[in-house]
Order: sequence, then C-alpha cells, then structure tokens
Amino acid sequence: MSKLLRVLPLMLLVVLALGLAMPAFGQGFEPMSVSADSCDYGGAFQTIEAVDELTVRFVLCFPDPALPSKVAFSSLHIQPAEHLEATGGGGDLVRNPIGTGPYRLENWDLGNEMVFSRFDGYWGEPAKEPTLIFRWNSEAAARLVELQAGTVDGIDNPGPGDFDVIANDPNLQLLEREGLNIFYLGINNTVEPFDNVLVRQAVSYGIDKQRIVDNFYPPGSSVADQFMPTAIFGYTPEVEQFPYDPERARELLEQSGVALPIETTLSYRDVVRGYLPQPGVVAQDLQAQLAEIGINVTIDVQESGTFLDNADGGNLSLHLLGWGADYPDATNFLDYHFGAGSSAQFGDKFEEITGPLSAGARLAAPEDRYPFYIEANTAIRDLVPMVPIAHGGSGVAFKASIAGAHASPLSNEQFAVMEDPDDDNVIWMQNAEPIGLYCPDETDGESLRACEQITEGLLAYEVAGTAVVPALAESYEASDDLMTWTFHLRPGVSFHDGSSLDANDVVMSFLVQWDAASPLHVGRDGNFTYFQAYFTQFLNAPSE
Amino acid sequence: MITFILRRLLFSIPVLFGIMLVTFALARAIPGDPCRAILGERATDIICDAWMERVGLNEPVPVQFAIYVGDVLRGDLGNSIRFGRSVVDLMAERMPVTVELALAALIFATVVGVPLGIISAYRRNTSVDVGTMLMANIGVSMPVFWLGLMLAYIFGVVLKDTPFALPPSGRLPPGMSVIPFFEQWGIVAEGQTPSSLLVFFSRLNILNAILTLNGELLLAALRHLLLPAMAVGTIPMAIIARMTRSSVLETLGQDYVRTARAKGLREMVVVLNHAVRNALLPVVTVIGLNFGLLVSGAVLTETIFGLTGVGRTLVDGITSRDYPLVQGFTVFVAVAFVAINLLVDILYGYLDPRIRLR
Amino acid sequence: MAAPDAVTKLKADPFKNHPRSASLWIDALKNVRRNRSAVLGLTIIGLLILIALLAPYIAPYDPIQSMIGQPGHTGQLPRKPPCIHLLGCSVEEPEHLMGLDLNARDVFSRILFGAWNSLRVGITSVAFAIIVGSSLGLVAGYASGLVDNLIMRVMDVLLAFPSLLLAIAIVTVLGPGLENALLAIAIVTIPAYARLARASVLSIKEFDYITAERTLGAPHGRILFGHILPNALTPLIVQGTLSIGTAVLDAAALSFLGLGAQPPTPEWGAMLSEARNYVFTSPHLVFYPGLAIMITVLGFNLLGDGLRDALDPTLNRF
Repeated sequence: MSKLLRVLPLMLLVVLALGLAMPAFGQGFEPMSVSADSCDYGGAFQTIEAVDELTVRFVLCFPDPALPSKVAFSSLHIQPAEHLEATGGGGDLVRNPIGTGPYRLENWDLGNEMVFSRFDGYWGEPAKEPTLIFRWNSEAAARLVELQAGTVDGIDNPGPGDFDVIANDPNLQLLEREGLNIFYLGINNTVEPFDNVLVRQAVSYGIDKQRIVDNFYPPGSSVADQFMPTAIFGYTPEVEQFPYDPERARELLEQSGVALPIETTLSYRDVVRGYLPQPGVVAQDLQAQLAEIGINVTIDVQESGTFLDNADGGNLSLHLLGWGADYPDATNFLDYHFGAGSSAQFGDKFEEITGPLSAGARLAAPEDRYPFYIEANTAIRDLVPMVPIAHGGSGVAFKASIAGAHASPLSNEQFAVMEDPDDDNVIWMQNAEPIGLYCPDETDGESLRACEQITEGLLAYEVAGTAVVPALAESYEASDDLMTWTFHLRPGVSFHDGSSLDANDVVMSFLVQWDAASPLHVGRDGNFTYFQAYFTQFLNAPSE
Repeated sequence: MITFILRRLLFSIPVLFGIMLVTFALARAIPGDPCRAILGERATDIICDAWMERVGLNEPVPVQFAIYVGDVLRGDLGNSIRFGRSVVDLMAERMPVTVELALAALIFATVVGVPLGIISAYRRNTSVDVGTMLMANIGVSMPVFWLGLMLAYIFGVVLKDTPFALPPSGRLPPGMSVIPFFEQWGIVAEGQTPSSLLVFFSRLNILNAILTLNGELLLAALRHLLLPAMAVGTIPMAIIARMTRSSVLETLGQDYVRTARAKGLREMVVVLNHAVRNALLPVVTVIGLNFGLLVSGAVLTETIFGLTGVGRTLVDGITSRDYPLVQGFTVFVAVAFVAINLLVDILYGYLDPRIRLR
Repeated sequence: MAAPDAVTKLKADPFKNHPRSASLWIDALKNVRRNRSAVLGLTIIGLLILIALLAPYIAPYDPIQSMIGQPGHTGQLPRKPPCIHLLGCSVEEPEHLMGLDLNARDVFSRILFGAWNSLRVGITSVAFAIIVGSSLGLVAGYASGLVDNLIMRVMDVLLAFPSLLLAIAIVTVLGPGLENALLAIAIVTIPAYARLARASVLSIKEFDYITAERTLGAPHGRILFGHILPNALTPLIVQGTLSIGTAVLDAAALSFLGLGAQPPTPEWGAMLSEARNYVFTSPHLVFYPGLAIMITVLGFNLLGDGLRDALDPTLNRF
C-alpha cells in the first residue's frame, strides 16, 4: 500500500511527461484498422487503416490513378469519429456538421438562410470575412434583382439572357464558369420501345443540338458530341458523333418495326444547373423536335429528389439530366454513369461499355488508358444509353467590389478567400437550399457547396481550379502498382468542436460509408451515392 | 350561449373525423411506394417488409387508420420523410410565415375594403360608386399569382431607386439576426430547446420585433410583408368592399335610419353611427369565410415571393411524396379552418343579439 | 325575409302553367337586358366563346409551332418582344402582337387558343358540380333524416378544406393534366351546390301544393325534378355563373403549379408559370396571359352579379 502510494505520483509524473512530449501515446491512441476478408465483394478497398496517429493507409483491390482526385471531393470529407458516433451516423449529423474548414455552421434557419462564422482555430489562412451567408432563390431573375439591389454580394447562374446586362454593369463582375459538364437525354433500355437499339439511334439522329445550344444556352456553351467534356481526359475526338439527320431518324424508326408514333414520357426536374439553364424550355423544344420524327412525349416534371431517386432506380424512360465534374478525369464521368457500379439509370448495362471502362480505370499512364476510352466512347455512341446534347457554359456574378471573387469549374467556390470592403460579411445567393449537410449522403451541388465551406478532405482542389492540392494530408505517396496509398496528416489541426484531427477520424469517416453493415451507415437517405459510384461497392452490401 | 358552443363543438367531431379520413385516404392514394420513398430506391424487399412491420404499414388499413387517429389525438403527427424531423417542429417553424402573411392580408383587406364599401354605398350611383365597384370586380377576377408577379415587377424593378421600392422576395434582409423574445427575456436559456409554441410565436417576426422592442426588425419585416400581403389580400378586399356596400345600402333603407334622418341628424352621422354599425355584421362573416381564400392565396404567393410557409411546404411535400408531412399539414389547416368558422359563428351571435343561438 | 321569398318562388313555379309564370321569365330576361353589368359580362363571354371557336381560323400561327427555323425568322428568337407593324416595327419582320415566348412560339396565337381550354374547364367543371351537387342537395333536403345527415356531413368535410389545397391533393392522386384538374375543381365545388339546393328544397317542400301532390301519390322523382328543382334553379344559375369565374381561376392556379395543362398545351395559367422567371426582364410574357384570365373571370362575375339582380326580385330594391 505504502509502496503504491510512493510509486503512484511517480507514475503519474511519467505519464504526464510522456503525454506532453508525445500526445500520441499520452491519449492512448488505438489505431483503427478495417479490412475486407477478400476483394471478392467487388469494391475498391481492401483495407483502410490508421498506421499511427497521423498516418492513414488505403490498400486497394485494383489500381486507381484517380484516388487523389476522389479523396479531395466533398463526399469524402472528414468529420470527428466521436461526432459520427454521437449522432448515430444520421439525424443531427445532417444539420450539424463538424469540420475543420475556415467556416463553421453558425445557424441554419431552415427555409430562409444559412449563416457561417469564421473558425478562428483554422489551420490555414483564416477566412477574410467573419460571416458568410447562403441564401437561395430558384428564379434567375430574382437573384439578379437581389444582386442589383445590393442585398446579396454574389449570385450563382445568372439567366442566359442576362449575361450581357451584367457584363455591361460597372457595379458588377461576371465570371464565366467553364462548361466542365454534360447535359444529356437519358434513355432507359429496359423500357419498350427503347429496348430496340435502332429506336435509340433514331433519337440520337433526331435531335438538333445546335438549335438548342444557340437558342437556350448562354455564351460559352457548346454542342456536346460525346459524354466527355473536351477539356477532360477521356474525351476522344477520334469518335465521330451521329450528325443531326431527321430523315435518317425516321428511316431507323421504320426499320425498327416499332409501331409509330411512339408514345412515351420525358421526365425532368425543374432545377437550374450550369448544364441546363432552362429546364422547362429545353424540355419543350425537345418535345417538339421528337414529335417531328414520330415520337410523342408527355412532359413529366418531378420534384428534384424524387426525380433523382427515380432516375437512379431506372423508373424513367426518357429523362433530362446532366453532370458536372467533381474531379477532372474520365472515371468521374463515364464510370459513374456507365461503369459496372453505375445505377440502373439507363437500364441494363452493356459489356461493350463496362469492359473498356474498368480496364481503363485500372491503369495509371494516360497513353495506356486512352485506347480503352476510344473503345468506350464508340460503344456509347452506337448503343445510345443517352444522347449527349450540350456542355453548358454558366457563370457567377459578384459585386465589382468583392475581392477574390471567382467561379470554380467544379462549382465549389471558396468564400473564405473573398473579401467585401463594404461590410464584414459575404452574402451568396444560389439556386436552392442545401438538402442536408452530411455530404457523403448528398449529391446536389447546392448541398456540396455548403459542405465545402465547413469540412475538408485529405486533399482539396485549388481555388477556382481543378488541380489537387494538400489539405488535411500534407503529403501522400502511392506504391508503384497504385494499390497502396499512404496519407500523412497535418499535425495540429482541430475540428470546430475543439477536438483534434487524428487518423482514426479519417478511418471512421470512410468506414461509415464503406461498411453497409455499420450501425453508423445511416446518412440522410442511406444511399451514399458517391461512395458507391467512386468505389463500386459497399462492404457487406445487402444482397439484392 | 354555452350550450350553443357545446352543440357546435359536438357537431364538429364527425367533421374532424371525416377530415382525418379524407387526408388519410388521399395520402394513401397518392401513387408511389412509401417504403422506397423513405428508405431510398435501393431498399430491398426484405428491408422494406421489416420496415413496413415496424411502422405498422402491414396492418389492415382500418387498423392503420385507428393507429393514425390515436397518434393525431396525442398530438403526434409523425416525422417528415424529406426533412427527417417531426412534423410538429416543421409546423412551428413554417406556420408563422403563413399566419403572418394571412393576418397582414386580412388587415389590408379590411382596412381598405370596408371604407371603400361605405363610401360606395354613401355615394351610390355616382361615378365614385361605379368606379369603386368596377375596381372591386376586377380585384375579384385577378389571379393571385399574376398580381403577385406584377407587384414584384412594379415595386422591385420599375420603382427601383425610388422611395417606393419594396423587396420582391424573402422575409428579412440577408443576415439580419433575429433574437427570439424567449431568449432575450431569458425564459429559455441558449442551447436549451424551446417548446414548439414558443418557437411558433418567436418566428412571427412582427410580434417578435414588438416583444423585443426591435424597431429595425419591425420595419424590415413590414417592408418584406407588404407586397405578398397586398397580393393575397386583394381578392378578400374586393369581396369585403362589395359586401359592405350592399350591407350598408340595406340598413340605410331600414326604419330606424329613416327615423334618425327624420330627427334631422347630419347625413354623415346617420351613416356612420346607425347604418355602418349594423352593416358590419355580415362583414364579419365574410372575413371569417375568407380564410380558405387566404390559404389558397398563400399557397401561390409563397412560391412567388420566396417564402417558406405552409403553402409551399405542402406543395413541395406533395411532389416529393412526403406522406406524414402532407397528412399533418392538411389536417392542421383543415382543423384550423373548422375552428375559425366556429369562432366566426360565435362572434356573429355575440355581435347580433337578433340571432338566436340554438 | 322568408315570406316574400316564398311568394315569389310560388309564382315562379312553371308546373302550374300560370299565365304569370311565362311573363315572369320574360320579365327576368328584360331585367337582364336592362342590367348594365350583365350585358357587359355577356358581351365579354360571347366574344370569348367566339375566339375559342374561331381560334384555328383567326390565330396567325400554330400555337405549338416554334418559330426557330421558320421562314422570315432570324436571330435570337426566344423572348423576342412584341413586333407590331402599326406601332413602327419594321414591316420586314414577321408580326407578333404579343411577342414570342421562351420556346419562340407566338404568344398571341397561344392566348387565342388558350381561351378554349379555360372556357372548357370553367364551364364543364361547374356543370358537373351543379348536376352532382344539386342532385345530392335535392335528395338530402327531400329525404331528410339519416340520408340528409350523411350527405351533408360529407359535404361539411369537403368544405373544411381550403378548396385549392383539396384540388391540389386530388390532382396529385389522379395525376396531373387538364382533365384531372377539371374533375378536381368540380369535386371541390360540389358542396356549395348541395347546400344551395338543399336550402331551396327545405323552403319549398312544406308548401301546400307539394304536400297535395304527395298525398295524391305522385312519385318522388316527379315531385323532386318536376316541381322542386325548377324552383331552386334561380340561385343555382346565379351561383353557377359566379363559380365559373372561380373555376377558371382555380384551373389557372393548378396549371401554374404544374398540375393542370401539360406542355405544350396553350393554357393561360401554364403560360404564366413558364414565364414567371422572366417577369423582370420580359414582363410582356407574364402580362398578357394574366390579363386574359382576368378578363374571362371578370366576364363571368359581371354576368353572375347581373343575373342575381335581374332574377331575384327580392334584391331589386336599390
């Protein structure tokens, strides 16, 4: 007893000293490690583990050259493991994210506005303004009126007809956003008569894309001759598209033996995006164009979330949707839509497309990958799971006085670098209210942009660009076979709740998405769409 | 009086039951699978069956209805699918927008409509009368959403940079911080969750501004409220003006008014003291009956002016198949409708002793 | 109030073949003709019906034809402002009195064609509601007791919902479309007629001649539809005319919310809805469809008011 009394203070002293010197041992860091039994489950990850407090290692099942681009995306941002556990992986998590970013969520006045305040403990350059406010209005004209009236500092997606107005206004600045996106007419090949490839090809020949771009898109837009935007790897100019040829379309329909006219439904959501600035108008023009070749469509407008669910579930026949780049690589466009792990959006998948895509995704050198994308793009053209229509140029507009204003080609504008000389906040008005702020389980740009201000990933995209730069990880390295990736975390990063970042937070943030059997695999609706799209399959995925 | 109220309350029970039946049936009849609407498209049949059992959707429909009625009676309206939050909480947040709008519209309608009606009656068959009544007729004929758009255009764009410019959307200027009265008064400490009722009252911006003596907030809230209130209030205003006119005209022909005139009272005194007082009775009824118009108007106007109130939430809820939200909001609005009609009846009986309350 | 009312109703009973009855209807017609607002309303409606019927012949363009690629049309066509030759628009350019809409379709032609859709919805939905509603009301009032209670409580429930909300819910169940919108509007309008018809029955059925008929063993159907209904007609007609206006407004509202007419159908409410984002930059796209709705509703309201004054002698004091 007395011995214990004598030793105890000494032991405490030692522990304290160790704790001060090496926080890792002092806090009893127990590195987490999760592995799949084998790679047979079909997903990309074999092992995700914390090597030590500041090192995370991913072991993959197949090489993935795009991994750095992927981990920079907002769906793979890091939140504290404790927060994920405390919220049960859903519920409060959706409205109360805790990140490491320059802004933290101050107040979300549901339906009205979202207020962010500067996070003083930020590891990097602190936000220029103490307050950031997000507002939303679905009407482009109303957004412009607010900007002109000075009630907001910046707006997203001004109307296509208003670009000139803004450019000519000395009080405003117009920043064009490069069209790293695609707008397409999706065709579900499990719905009659679109199970017939001739009918799908007829649709492809029957659409005058130039007319749509000329009349309904802002300056800076271009006709899409394939799914890939021209500026992103995976675009293959060798693959020539079917031209606009209504005669040929009618011939193909004749050949197909399908009873004419075809009666079907064209679904869309009334949501403005850079790739589709005027949904209803374009839908009606397509309706008129398709009627010309003998396809009568009924237009069906659906609520955004319902529409996306229906599209992913393969419940729609013809539908209008688009895609903006999350990271600049073919896999982000083609694999997400046509790869083995893609949704039922276009019906049954084609071996002719999935084959080259999975081959191309597992190689590192662009010159090795390129032939596979020629093959994939040709197959996509011939099998017509969708008709690419336009790459929409869009823009953002700010008051001329806002310093650091920029448009991001990935639509993730960083407001921390913006400075308003007139007052101490930046007020941003976008198209719609974010649905939720747990971005692993969100897909819409309005939610993702809000997340980008609050949370951070291992890596990040440079401001106003697409290049990948260090963020929570100072550095990373990959094995030669691109199968093992090691990320070295930045020391001394703290979360908005005051806790500090360690490797387990990273493992946990990935694990709750990866492991479908995890009690924390909850989210808002539990789809974790991006994770599945990026990494093909969940661990312990429920059998269909 | 008390027996009358009790009788009326008793009579509304079957109506309330019917309301629940109708909302329940309508929500079930909206096409779509509730399980996949809630758990996502990828939910398998096994997961769905388990979920259906958990929430009681595998029970026979009458049993489901009984459970539903029980829940409603206990004040539990379920959770919204889309927002993942209790419908009661959502109502406490969004109802104030609509209530404020409806009240402002009603005040606008009454304050403008009643004097117009009186003047029109007093000056009957003059150009003033004809003009007013033509305006009233046009007012009743205008689509609310069109009027809203035109008002937004005129006050937001045409009159921009003049003192008459009004904000065309939103409830408050961006970033305007609102301290709920219960926090300022210290009733509820910060961080503590206030009751839904407190939230409801604190989100009535004008009330909150008055309670917290915040003049800036009051002014901002009023300026934002003006355009939508005018849009919603115009039809009721026209109806009230017409009703007041015919009602005043009717009383002007009554014996006691003639007597008053014969006594040599000045015409204005006769009109205001004798005729108008009695003429206002039917107007009270009309005001009460316009509740439905106000709600319908709010549904359309909220979309135009970017307000997230009951109407817009309900319409969004219907398109996104959010059954609990739609059921909860509809039941609430219908019950409020019944309650207001009851109130109007009682008020009417109270104001007019000639009406026997049975 | 009740006594003089009953007397005039009695006089108006056509079954009695009283010489006065025919002249009463003629009187009523004369009253209508003398009533300024009724005449104005009737004129507006007459013109609208003409437009609706003649739209295919008088409209300058096909209402669903996009002008893109059409002869004579060049440049940026969507949202092109009105080109009226009389007002100085170059004769070289094709004339578009109300401009082109977002899909470069002629707004004027769409407005003309839209008249048919609005009138159709307004008139048929109200006709449907009158037939169903007044039958229910007649039966309820005549039968009394349990049947009466049952029918009227159901009507109370329907009346407990704000009508537009109920219509929205019904259309959601039935699926969007002009026909379903028509049906939904009819359903929410039924209770008003049921109440009206029932009230008339109650005031008439205790009169001696009805009691006499009944004692003589006349079939219920003949008493109801031969004697009681004709007496209840006046208020039904007046209310009917007024609610056509409301029905037109409700249909436009449903279309505005995307639940009514589906594209590319030219319908005023839908036209407004499509163009509402452009109210600040192209107000003419929003102005004309709204004006068209307003004039139509005004026509029915004026006629309804006029009819009430002309047909209901008790109101003729002023």
